[in-house]
Amino acid sequence: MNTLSIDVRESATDANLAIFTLKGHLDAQTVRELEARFEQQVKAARVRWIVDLAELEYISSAGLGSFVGVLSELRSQAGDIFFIGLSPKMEKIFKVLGFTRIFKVFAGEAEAAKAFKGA
Amino acid sequence: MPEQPPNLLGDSVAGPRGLSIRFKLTAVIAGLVVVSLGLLAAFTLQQSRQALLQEAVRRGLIIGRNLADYSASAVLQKNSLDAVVFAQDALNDDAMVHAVLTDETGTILAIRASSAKAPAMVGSVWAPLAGEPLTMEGLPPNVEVVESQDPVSGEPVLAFALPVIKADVRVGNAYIALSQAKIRQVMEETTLKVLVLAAGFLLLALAAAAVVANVIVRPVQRLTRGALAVGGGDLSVQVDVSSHDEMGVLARSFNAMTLSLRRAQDELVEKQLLKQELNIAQEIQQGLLPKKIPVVPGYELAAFYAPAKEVGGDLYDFLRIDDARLGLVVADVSGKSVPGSLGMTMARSVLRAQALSGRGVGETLHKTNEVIQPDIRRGMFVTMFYAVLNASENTLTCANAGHNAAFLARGGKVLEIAPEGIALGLVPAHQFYVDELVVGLEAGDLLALYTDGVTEAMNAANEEYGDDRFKAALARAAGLPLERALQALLDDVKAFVAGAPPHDDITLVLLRRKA
Repeated sequence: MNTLSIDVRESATDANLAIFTLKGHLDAQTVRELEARFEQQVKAARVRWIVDLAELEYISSAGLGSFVGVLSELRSQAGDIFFIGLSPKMEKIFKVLGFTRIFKVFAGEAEAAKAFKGA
Repeated sequence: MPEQPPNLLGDSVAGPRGLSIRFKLTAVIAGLVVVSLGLLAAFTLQQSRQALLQEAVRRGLIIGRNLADYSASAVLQKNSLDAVVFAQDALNDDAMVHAVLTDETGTILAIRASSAKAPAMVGSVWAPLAGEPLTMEGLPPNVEVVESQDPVSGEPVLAFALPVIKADVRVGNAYIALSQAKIRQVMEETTLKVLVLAAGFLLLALAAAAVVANVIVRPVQRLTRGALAVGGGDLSVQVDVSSHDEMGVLARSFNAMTLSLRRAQDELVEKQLLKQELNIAQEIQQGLLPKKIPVVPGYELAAFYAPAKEVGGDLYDFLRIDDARLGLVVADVSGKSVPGSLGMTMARSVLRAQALSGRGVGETLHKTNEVIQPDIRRGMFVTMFYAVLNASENTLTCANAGHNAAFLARGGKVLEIAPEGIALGLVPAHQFYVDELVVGLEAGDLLALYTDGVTEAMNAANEEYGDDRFKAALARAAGLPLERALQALLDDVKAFVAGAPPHDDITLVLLRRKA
């Protein structure tokens, strides 16, 4: 059974900013846990997210879809999802699906956080 | 029609028959009580009889000793008159039956009996009463005591024989008989008391046994009822337990067992539902696939589709736009099972409507996204490679909504056809983007459209088949007849995964411009 570990951390400098660190497998099963965590953050009105995929070994289409699914809600509240830590393979997936046209991708947390500040 | 959940336990079991545990337990306890009470009563009676006997012997010894001592001079002188007085005196004790004094030869000097009739006469030889000799601690060696019967009345007596001694010389014998009627009477009274007491104890013991049996049996009965209910198919049964003894442990194990049985059954039911859902999804899926491969002059087509265990939601399709133009579609939906199939059905229908209305490939995908995006389940999307072959101009116009690149084998090399675009359903129309690309087709060109089930096929070591292996295989297969080329490509994937189960649908469409 493949598992997903989800760590959600509030930014020290920006109360609206949450940093998700995902490890393991994000598939049709484990995506439910992730969506539950999404909901918690939306309820807490924390709508700016940085998602770190550096330690994510596998992402299924259902996993990818979960980010798109929540995006419009975040953007309606002036929030967004910025991705960091994309492996070359993940980058290819993002590019093929057109995710790079939907989401911004940054080299690291500092750059992503800075982009949120500028927004 | 939903199948009945299977009864994991087979046929239900009948309830208990024959003697109940409660009865057996009560009988055993009662039996033990009766045996121990009986032993106790026998012991008590034996003890009291022994004590009474001792008391009687002690009394007899005193009377006999007194008689022998006081009458010693009279016996020595063979003075019958005096001897009778002593014998009469000895009868003062109301337990006395008779008293006899003889000289050393056994000739009776005096005889007195409590009844009117004496057992013998003065002057005759006394025949000592025969019987079972008593051996008792503290009995002087020259005294004999036997249990015997009174020769007159026949009642049981204790007969004593003592020497009459004068100046250390035995001058005669004293014989007395002491009635045992008193002892018997006391014994009877004692026996009665013991029996009454024993009966009382027995009743108490039976009541206690019933209570104890109840305490032990009640949890057993509860468990039995629970087990019978489980046997009848009710897996929601839980037995109340508070104790921590063996019964408590048993009841808790029983509860744990029914719980895991219920979970197993639930899982089974869920699996069956899932299987049904997958069957429905597969039916929808299969219904979407074209029944026939279209014929295009100057071109050859081949297609392959294999569902994974869980239907991944692949699709390929051919759209006859006009005599010269044929639309080729390969698509993959992000959702699995029924929702995925429905999403794909929607995308396919909209695409067909748009494509046949004469729009270009990019615009067709644009319109398809615009129509399905508001209705598709949130987070679900469809990747689609859409190409239109113009057989008279030998061109292929391609647009790609987030799907894998197409590969074109030409002259030993493999080209990637990868116009950019966003998968269908992800973003609203104003954010949607898709590129268009026109490729000229040369004689012998072999085009491969596929889904990620091919390139992301995994072997047991979790390694991906990958684009490079696929491209190499395509280059090798380029010269083969089309059906054989298709088989060679599938065989290459199969050889790579080496038996590992496919985790996604596999779709492969080949198009070749005839040489």
